[in-house]
Amino acid sequence: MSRSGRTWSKALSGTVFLAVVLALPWILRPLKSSAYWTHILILIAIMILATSSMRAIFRTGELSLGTAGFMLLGGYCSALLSAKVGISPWLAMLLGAIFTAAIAALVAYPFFRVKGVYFVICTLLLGFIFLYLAGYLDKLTGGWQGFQFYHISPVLKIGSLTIAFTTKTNIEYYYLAVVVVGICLFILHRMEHSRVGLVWKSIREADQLAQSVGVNLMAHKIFIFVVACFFTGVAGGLYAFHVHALSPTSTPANVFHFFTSVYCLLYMVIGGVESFYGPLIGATLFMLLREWARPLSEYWPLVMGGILILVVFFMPKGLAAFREYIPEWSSKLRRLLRQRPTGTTQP
Amino acid sequence: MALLEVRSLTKRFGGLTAVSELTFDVNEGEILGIIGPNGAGKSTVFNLICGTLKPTSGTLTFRGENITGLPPHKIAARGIARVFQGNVLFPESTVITNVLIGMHLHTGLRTFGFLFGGHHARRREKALRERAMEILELVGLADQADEVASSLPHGNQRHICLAIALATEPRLLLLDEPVTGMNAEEVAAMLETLRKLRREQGMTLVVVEHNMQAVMGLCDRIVTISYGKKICEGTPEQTCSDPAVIAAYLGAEDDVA
Repeated sequence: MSRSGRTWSKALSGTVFLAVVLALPWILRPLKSSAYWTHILILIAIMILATSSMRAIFRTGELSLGTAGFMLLGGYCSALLSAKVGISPWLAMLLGAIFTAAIAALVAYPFFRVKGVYFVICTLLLGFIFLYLAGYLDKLTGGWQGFQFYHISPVLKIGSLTIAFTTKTNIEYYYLAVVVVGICLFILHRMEHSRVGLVWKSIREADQLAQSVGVNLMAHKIFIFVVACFFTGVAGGLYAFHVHALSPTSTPANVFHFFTSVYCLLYMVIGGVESFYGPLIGATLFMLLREWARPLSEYWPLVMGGILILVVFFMPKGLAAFREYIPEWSSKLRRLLRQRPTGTTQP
Repeated sequence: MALLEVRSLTKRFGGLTAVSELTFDVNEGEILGIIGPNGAGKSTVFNLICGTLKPTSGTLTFRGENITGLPPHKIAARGIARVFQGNVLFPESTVITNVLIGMHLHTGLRTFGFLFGGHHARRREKALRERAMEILELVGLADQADEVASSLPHGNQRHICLAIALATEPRLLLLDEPVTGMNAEEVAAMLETLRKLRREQGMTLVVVEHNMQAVMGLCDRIVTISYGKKICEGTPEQTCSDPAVIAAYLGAEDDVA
């Protein structure tokens, strides 16, 4: 295909994708439980942002399992600022994300002194520390009982368009989440495809060599960690103003619990680490699958685990690279079929 | 004044002294060889010069400035590049991307362009790509620019490593075993490239190598190290006939091999 042809097909698929994303609430409207499905869509958007942030850090070769912890920071901070100080949610969300980024900047230097599994453990435990802090600082956060706020917020008016932070309708909030997540993803996408993205790649593939051609490893790692935690904080803020109830309990159902980080990791790997769209595909598919698999209830982790192992074995590049696997599989299948009739059972 | 002055360089790892009171000069435009038995501390010397390791004592002076203890990326910015032992490159990237990454210090991009790209950055990257092709032509890999680096044979990968180092536009190039594991043809090609670098660009090279034939043919001067200490410094002829070198290294060549 020619270059212009590729650009056109890219633009077309992008437009179709955008149209579907924007039309989804209307498609779901006839459903009895459309409010519930919109709620799920909002959660998907939030998890896509969290997963993409994790993947941005992973571009440098380091895995951060602090996603849930940083979401908690962003969520609690923006919720508290809005409910207790009375700041507009718009500003509160931004301040919450900045606060998250600031904390990330504080821990980044000591954390990046270690590599590999030690870094993973550091970020993982930091998430737990945030969780317990939110529980024990009960004067500030409401403690283990959690923190609820029914704050009627000022609306934002752009011309005739009114966007409200309400708890009544999900559709407005869905559009808000899509716009916010879209902006964040756009920024991440631009970074990944510019020089700084190339630097991340170089750090992941051969950090010593990258350093020897003049890359300041520490500065670049800290930078992407802080940026990614900012976006994770945004995801936490979006979640806080969506559900209006935050809790530090350590049940898997709590979004701020460590399990969320694991889910992000799974979405990232299943979707495809190499592709920018991996987190989108992974998070969307698996969160929808989980909804459809509700009847399976307690067997769901079993099913999900099985699917995951199959994907890791047979599609190590993830679902985003699906097209690459089709010719591979078909040739394998053909070879198998050809072997059968002759009866040769060579290993 | 020499390009690089190494003065009483010492590195201790706990009780082990890997490099001890090492002193030598690297003159502008020369090819200096460093030889010695395995474990003599040759690679440690490179690590000390490049800043990967911090010396226990001693000083390094590059172009009249003290560079002792600077981190590797700052040493690279001063103009010292390095080809690592073994094929250390960016394996999953294409050959030309390898070189483009090597140009990190010379992208000429402002912060915005560096982070987010844009029209200006795209124009700039195009210019960098042309420069990268020139470097690939120099090392003879221009027709394999779009291949994945790890898919090329050993000799070509070694040339990619060299191309990455050249992309940093160094004044001083350190090569750790540049022809080890190559066949005769590849060795000849690599040596010719190195000579061309000195001849046409006036580049200064320091080479660590076990292939004596290559070292003797290539280098102007040779420093011999054994147990972290310098035991000889001189022309290839002087080194070959030095009794200390023969005792410590050359005479034992059969055993080493």
